[in-house]
Amino acid sequence: MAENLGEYPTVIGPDASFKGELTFEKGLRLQGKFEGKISTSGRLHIAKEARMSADVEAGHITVEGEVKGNLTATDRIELKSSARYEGDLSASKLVVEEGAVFSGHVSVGPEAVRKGSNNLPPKISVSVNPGIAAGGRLPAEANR
Amino acid sequence: MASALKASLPDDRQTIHCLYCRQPQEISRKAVTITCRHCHKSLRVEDVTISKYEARRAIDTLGVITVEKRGNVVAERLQCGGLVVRGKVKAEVVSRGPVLVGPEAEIRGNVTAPRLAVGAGAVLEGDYRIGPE
Repeated sequence: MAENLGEYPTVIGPDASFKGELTFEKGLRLQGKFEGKISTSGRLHIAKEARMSADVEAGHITVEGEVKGNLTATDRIELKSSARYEGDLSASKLVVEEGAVFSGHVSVGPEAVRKGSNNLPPKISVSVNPGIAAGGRLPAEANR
Repeated sequence: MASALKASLPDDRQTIHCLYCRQPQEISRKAVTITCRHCHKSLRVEDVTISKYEARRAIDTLGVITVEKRGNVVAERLQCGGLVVRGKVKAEVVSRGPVLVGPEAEIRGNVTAPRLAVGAGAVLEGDYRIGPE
C-alpha cells in the first residue's frame, strides 16, 4: 500500500462513494464507489473491491473490480483476473489476464485512440462580414 | 465427475462437445471429421492452419485455427476450439477455447471466447464477449 502511494497519490477509500466529475494529474486508486466521469493523463487503478460506473479518459487504466462505462486510454488498459467490465474500450494496448470477464466494443491498436478522437464532428466556423450582413451591400457600394 | 470421466477414457479416446447442439460425445483421437450422434451434423475435429489469403463463408472446427503471419482470413464466421492469430482475420469469431492475438496481428469482427490474450501492437476492432459462457 505504502509503495503505491508514489504512483497513486490520490485514493478513494473502500468506505467512500463519489458522484461527479474528477480530474487529477498523477494517479488515482479507487477502492470505493464511483459514478460520473474521470479525465486524466495519469494512471487509474480500480481495485478489486471497487465499483465504478463512469466514462474514463486516462493514460493507463488497470481494472481489478467491477466497471461499467466507456474506457479510453492513450497508453494501455489492463484487465486483471478479477475484473468484470461492461462497456466500450479504446486503447493503444490491451492486456487481459485469464479469468477477466468483459463485454463491449473493443478498439485496440496504435491508431485506435487517435481514431476515437477523430470521430467527433468537425468544428465549423462561419464568419459573416458585418457590412454585408447589415446592409446587404458590399462596403464599396455603401460608400457610393 | 469430469475427472472421473477423463480417468475412465482410454488414451486413444477424447470427449468433445458438438459445435451446434453442444452435446458431449466420446470420439477417437485420430478422428479428423465425425458426425454428431445427437444432431447428425458433420463436425471437423482437426486443427486448421492458414498461411495465405483465404476468403471463406465459414470455418467450423473443434480444433484450433492458426492464422500464420502471412495468413489473411476473410470469412463470415469462424467457429473453433481455439484461435491463434499472427496475421489478419476479418470475421465473427466464436471460440470455445482461448483466443491468442500475436503482436501486430489484427482481428476485425465480433469475438466471443472464454479467454483472450493480446500481444503488443495488435489491432482489435469489434464487439467482444470474453469470459465463461
